[in-house]
Amino acid sequence: MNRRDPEYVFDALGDATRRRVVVQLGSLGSATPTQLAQYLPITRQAISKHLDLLADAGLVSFERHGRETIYRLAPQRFTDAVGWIAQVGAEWDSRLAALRRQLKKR
Amino acid sequence: MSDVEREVLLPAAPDEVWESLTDPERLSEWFGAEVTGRVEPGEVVTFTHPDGTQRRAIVEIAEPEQRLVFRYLPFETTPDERTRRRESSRVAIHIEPFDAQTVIRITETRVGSAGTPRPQIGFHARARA
Repeated sequence: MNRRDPEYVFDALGDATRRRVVVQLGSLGSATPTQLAQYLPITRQAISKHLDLLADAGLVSFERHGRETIYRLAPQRFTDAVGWIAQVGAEWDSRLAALRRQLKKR
Repeated sequence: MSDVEREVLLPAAPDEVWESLTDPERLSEWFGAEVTGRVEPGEVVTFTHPDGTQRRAIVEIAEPEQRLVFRYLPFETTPDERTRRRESSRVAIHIEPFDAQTVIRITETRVGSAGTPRPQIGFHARARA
């Protein structure tokens, strides 16, 4: 799977622990794995692995400061994936309503 | 996964629903675009949207009153005849009778550039014919 594919975003978010990392990072704004570990019932090492995968999917960005790596959510990526679903879903809702009207007339 | 899925009960028998899905004139009435071309396996169907943008889709499977699958080609044509890239997606419509009515299930899935399954153009339709 190509990591630019939206599919990759959903795979990355398919894990409950990883979603908790995302939510926690969102509420902190930016954080290091050590900081995140204070809020989550998993080790700093496990958090680092989840963050690597999230960075691979383009869902978080990071900056290195000496020995620390500071992570942030990358909101555009969420919007791209969720936006497609919302738009295509709305299109089908209105099409299906029109199809129902057409069939009722007959 | 990045799918949109809808399942609805329609107030008509499967043969009527199939007509609405495959007759370009009837399709144009509800699809939100003018549809031209033949809805048959291997054929390319053109959707002209109200703003003049055109998208094309290749019909992969058309099993009367059972299943219709088409895949949008990865580009669109603007009203000034320019072609630009647009993400592809595949639409699968499953049809099932329910009393005197019909349940249809629609799934639209984004088609990625990698790992895309090969289309099965017309195979099922022809095997059944």
